[in-house]
Amino acid sequence: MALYELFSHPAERGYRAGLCSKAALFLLLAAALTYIPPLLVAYRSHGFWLKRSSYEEQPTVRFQHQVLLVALLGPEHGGFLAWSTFPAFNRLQGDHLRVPLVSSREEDRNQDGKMDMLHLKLELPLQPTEHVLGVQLILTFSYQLHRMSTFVMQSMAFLQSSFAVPGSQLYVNGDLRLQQKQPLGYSGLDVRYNVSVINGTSPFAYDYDLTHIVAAYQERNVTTVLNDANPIWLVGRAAEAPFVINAVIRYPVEVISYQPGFWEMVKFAWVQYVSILLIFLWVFKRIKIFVFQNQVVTTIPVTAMPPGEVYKEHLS
Amino acid sequence: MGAATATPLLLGLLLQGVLRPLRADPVFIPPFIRMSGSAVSAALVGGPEEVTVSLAPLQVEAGVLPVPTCDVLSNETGDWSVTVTPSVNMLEVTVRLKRGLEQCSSNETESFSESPCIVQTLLVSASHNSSCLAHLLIQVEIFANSSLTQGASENMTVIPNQVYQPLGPCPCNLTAGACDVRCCCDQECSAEARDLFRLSCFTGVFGGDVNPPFDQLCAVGKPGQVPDWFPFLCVQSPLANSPFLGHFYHGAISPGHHPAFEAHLHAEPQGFPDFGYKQGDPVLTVNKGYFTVPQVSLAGQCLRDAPVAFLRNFDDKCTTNLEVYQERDGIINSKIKSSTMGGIVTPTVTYEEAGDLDKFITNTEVLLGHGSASRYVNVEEHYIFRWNNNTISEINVKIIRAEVSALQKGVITQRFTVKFLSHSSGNEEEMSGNPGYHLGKPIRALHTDRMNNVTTLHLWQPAGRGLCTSATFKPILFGENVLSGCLLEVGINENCTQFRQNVIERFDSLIQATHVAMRGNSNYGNLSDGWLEIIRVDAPDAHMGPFFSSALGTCPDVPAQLHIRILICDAGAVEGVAQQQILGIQTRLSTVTWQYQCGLTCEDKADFFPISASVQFIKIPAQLPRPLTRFQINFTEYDCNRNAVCWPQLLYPLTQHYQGEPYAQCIAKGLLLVSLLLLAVFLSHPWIRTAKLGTRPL
Repeated sequence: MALYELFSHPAERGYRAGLCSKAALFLLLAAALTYIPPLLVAYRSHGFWLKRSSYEEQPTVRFQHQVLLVALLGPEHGGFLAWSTFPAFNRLQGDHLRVPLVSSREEDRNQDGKMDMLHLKLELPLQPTEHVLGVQLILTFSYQLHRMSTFVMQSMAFLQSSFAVPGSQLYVNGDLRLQQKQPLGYSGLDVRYNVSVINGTSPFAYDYDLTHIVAAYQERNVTTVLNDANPIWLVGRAAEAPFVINAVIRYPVEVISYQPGFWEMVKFAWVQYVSILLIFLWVFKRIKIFVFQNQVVTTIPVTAMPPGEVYKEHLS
Repeated sequence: MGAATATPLLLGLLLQGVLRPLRADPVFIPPFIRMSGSAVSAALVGGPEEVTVSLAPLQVEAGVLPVPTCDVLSNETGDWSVTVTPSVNMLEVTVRLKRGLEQCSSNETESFSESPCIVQTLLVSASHNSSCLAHLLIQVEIFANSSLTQGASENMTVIPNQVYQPLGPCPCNLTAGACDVRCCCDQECSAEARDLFRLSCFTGVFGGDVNPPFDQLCAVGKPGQVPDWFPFLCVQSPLANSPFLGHFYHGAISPGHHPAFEAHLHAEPQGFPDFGYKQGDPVLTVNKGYFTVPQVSLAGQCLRDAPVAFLRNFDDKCTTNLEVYQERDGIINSKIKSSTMGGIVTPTVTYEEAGDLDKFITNTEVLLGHGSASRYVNVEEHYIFRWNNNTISEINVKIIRAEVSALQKGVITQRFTVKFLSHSSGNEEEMSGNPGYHLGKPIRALHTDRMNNVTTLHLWQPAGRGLCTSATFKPILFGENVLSGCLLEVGINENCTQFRQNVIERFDSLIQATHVAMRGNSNYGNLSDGWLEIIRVDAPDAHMGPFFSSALGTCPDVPAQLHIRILICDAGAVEGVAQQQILGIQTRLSTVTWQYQCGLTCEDKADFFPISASVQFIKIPAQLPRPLTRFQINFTEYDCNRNAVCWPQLLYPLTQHYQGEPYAQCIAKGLLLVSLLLLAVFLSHPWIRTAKLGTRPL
């Protein structure tokens, strides 16, 4: 009957030497060469530390029902109409104030508790002799992210559109996209930008200057922008019909970049380190076995006994 | 019942109500009231001062109302009282039920009664000197549960927690306080009413079956249709405890706050400062309004009534159509609060006449009719406010106006400036920085040979067609690189020498200085206080020898471009702010060959020769750095700006480069990891084995 090796188990052999011997020095050197080079190799091959990461979330966006409208009229030079939901602004406009009919509705299409789009309709009454050639519209939103850091801000959608021919309706259909100039945090409360975009209580004309509003808004590191390349101007307004702005603004799912926290970075770094460490461990294990077995450094070999046994092993 | 018989009387009263005001007789408005609460009021209009108002109940006999008289002169009759309150141009008459409605609400089992509790007819008469003036007829129908005795409930409806109780046990109960037809679960329906529609009740959940039996109930299920585990695993439960509880509602007990449109049209001026004006406060007038000056806002449009902010200067230009131009009234007469404690400042106004109207009014059709009426339009208004601590001490207004015909058409450009000056400031010269230059301030220059030597360097500001004759000068500002130019008209027969002289003179008019200040605060009187001489690299001599201008329409070596180079550097810092100064300035002219541009034929038309000037600021380091070796340039191991795997970022989370967490937290977490590592090392085999072997004898 042929015999096969059915089972084997390792028997340990120890090598003894003093702490100041060559063997100890060799072991120290081998340990250093085992544990430190993987770190260097992993670091120098780029990507060791995860400095930026991203995640997906649909933000919780609510329309704040603040509107600022400027309609440019032609052909009279300098003619314009303005209206907003800020009483101080309306007071400043004098004869140019025209109150429109504004209706809005937010829709949650997939019933997940977060609004998905805004339907806004604004009808500006006009006299038969007035023609609208350009529109500037500011809508403000409250924008919240919750999955990583709790990020709450008040942002705006600025729409500016003009046409050479007097229009009857402006149709806008776009997304409210998030623009980040720096990554968000991974936890905590971030309410740096939870201030209103337009200072609605100020009585001064300077605070309603569109260039100043936009300049202050663009100073922020995280903003939203209305992403519609081509608003459609419809022409052919009846004499007594109002000028209609029809806006559909969607709140899409955003990919948000954030700066990972300490533990996330260490976790990914550890994975990279250990995978290279295994190779070094295997290599230096072989080297150590060779060195000690062949007595390259002088040591006393000792067969290690399993605990509790005091007999010598029988070598057959 | 009373309504039908009251109709002729009502018509009579209405007619009286319509006709009486025409004859200026007193009348009640409205003349007929149907009363359903415990108090009601009407207005008596047009009556004389002394009017007595009395109240009398009317007895309706056989459905006919008696003729109203003023015999019973009393303002209190049993349960009713009438009170008269004088108001603006009228008397307000209020009729009130004195006793409560206790007997009406005695029957508490019926939540809703179908017949009124009190039915009565009252006549209120207004008389003067025993002659009847006007009548008011009140038909009282008070129902028991009208709940006006308690007033509108201020309490919020308590919404039960829908986890335990369905919110709408009866969804078809749509009308409060009345019976809904076909809704058998409506508690407000009486038994008789329910009998009427018992056979056609709404079914299902809408009809009130909000707890339908669910599949797992033991009571449900006909044999043969139940699953195999019936009845071993079926549920014995009352229907009130069903898995459908809370199914239709999210569970919110109070309504969330959702923003909505809250537009207002009017806003009163607010903010009366308690301790005088602070920077940014609006300037107030005595009658609690704002002091306004037209300003530019929105997308460049002018707003006429824009308030002025304390200590904010501005300089705005507004364009208006002359046809709609209206003079702003009240500049002279406005009284401005100097501070809130009191104190009025009246502005002192001076007028000046405008010179050239063409600069302000465009698109004119000049009307030659001298006989037509003329009016003044304010072309420029300059306001200078003098302030002292928190108060305004003085206001000077300079208005430049022009006289135009009343029928003049066109567009007028107005300029409004507001400047706040400290009350003690005079006409000091404005420095361009202290001590270093500030960005955007003009370069200080002086000419040693001229008397009026405070000047600056200029570049052209082209205007209109862009010709050099119409160009104005704009000062050179520190730190701003500028390029500008203009067009010079040249004829085909131009004398070259004269031409070159002309161009050089034009360039010289820009640089009318010999020295330029190094710092922003160099003293003009002291030439050794940091003044640099302007280095001029002259153009080749205009009177050079051989002319090659024998050909007509050509001139060689005409200076065409002026380059001004200014070297600046950072010279120290004051309180952490770096101060910049000028190290040197050089002007250089470069030349081109001018040739007249002919078409097919050369006509004697004026050609345009462009000349330009540019300023360039070159920043040089204060001390020249040592030139780097190639090794130093290529060795980026320690430069994290040029190397993504630089050595200082080896342990990135523990360095200052990582900004995602506070530094202390990172160090703490790192120490935690180190302690875990040490624990692992101490607990690992070699040490324990060594300890064990050390105790055993060899």
